[in-house]
Amino acid sequence: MSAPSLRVRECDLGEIKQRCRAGQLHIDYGAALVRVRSPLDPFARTLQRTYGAFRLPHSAQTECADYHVEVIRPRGPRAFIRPQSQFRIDGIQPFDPFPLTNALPLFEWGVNWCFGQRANQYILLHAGVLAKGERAIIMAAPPGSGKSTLAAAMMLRGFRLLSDEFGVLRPETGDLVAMLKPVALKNQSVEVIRAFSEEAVIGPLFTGTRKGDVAHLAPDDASADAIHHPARPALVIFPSFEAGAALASHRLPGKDAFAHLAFNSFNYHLLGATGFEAVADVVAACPAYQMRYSDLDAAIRHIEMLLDDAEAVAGAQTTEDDG
Amino acid sequence: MPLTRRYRCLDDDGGILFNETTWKTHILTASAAIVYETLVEQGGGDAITMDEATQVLRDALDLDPDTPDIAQLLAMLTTLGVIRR
Repeated sequence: MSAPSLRVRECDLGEIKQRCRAGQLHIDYGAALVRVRSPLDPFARTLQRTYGAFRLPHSAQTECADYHVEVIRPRGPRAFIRPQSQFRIDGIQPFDPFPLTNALPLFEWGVNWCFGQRANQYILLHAGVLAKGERAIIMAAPPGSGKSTLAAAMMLRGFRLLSDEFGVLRPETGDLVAMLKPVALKNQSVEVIRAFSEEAVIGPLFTGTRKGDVAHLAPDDASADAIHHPARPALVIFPSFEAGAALASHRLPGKDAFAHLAFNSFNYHLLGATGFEAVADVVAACPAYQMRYSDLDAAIRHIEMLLDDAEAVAGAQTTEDDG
Repeated sequence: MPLTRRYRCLDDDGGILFNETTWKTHILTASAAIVYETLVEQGGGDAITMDEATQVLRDALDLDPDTPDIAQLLAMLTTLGVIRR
């Protein structure tokens, strides 16, 4: 077995810049391998900070990347007046350029776009996924519900982060696969998470993006090292943040959990019976709760309790089945 | 072409049904799931007639097939091939 490769933060910045320029920087997200080319040195610097825990893949792994992307500075007179950054995949530019200073958010959204559009070998739930050991918690909620903030806080309290955006379900096995990326914190969430833990490694603040002010929380070493360890769905939570609200949760009927998960998925409609069976298996295996919260630590303790309860019930069912 | 469908019962929470012909997913309430399961059992794998279905609803489930909700459910089950057109 080969020795673990260097983490991105352990590499010299000059090497990261050079790899970026040459199109030889590969990022292993777990569910996808991305080859990155960019001549933008400030982009390489922010990449090194926010992907610091990731290990550079061994060369044998990099022979076949899933996506080949570029973050470049477009040419033309505009480049001198108002410099921009452009995201391209396979030579295609899927969306309009961003200001040059916002190359990292552009890259992050670009990779999300590629994965959401193309990774149809998986069922892509619109959900964050965290795990304790092999037990995964699927956190599904619409944008603005505080899902990413809660996912960030959970990672900082010792949960393993698999993704804050994609619940990547492998239909053949029913496992959840990591699509580990920096957590995009928006607006007030940036300061909330900064104050929540001194361990939080947060990249630069990008102001005035299409989603407001954004900064990226770097995944921790434990999450990055477990990037190829799948987890079993154990609990489904639909969180919603409400300032000042007392913590409350209630169990959702399975059919409602199914509807929320399936109909908000990125690609359920494309996968037919495969998607149906996979999401139905999740709902059958996991209790689902709607949870309202305002205090992050209280919410995390509650989720831990629900996870332990779910495990106890699953254990009792297994015993009954065996008996 | 035979209509095929996949059904999953979610304990007391109702059921979910996938129509492999249209790729539409149907969410069944607990009572709709009971109607579905009863009619499928009655047909033994084949579609039953509307007359048979209404008879089963009256006799086995004590339901009035003429209420709007039940009529809507029966129409959906006809689309799904549980009830013969």
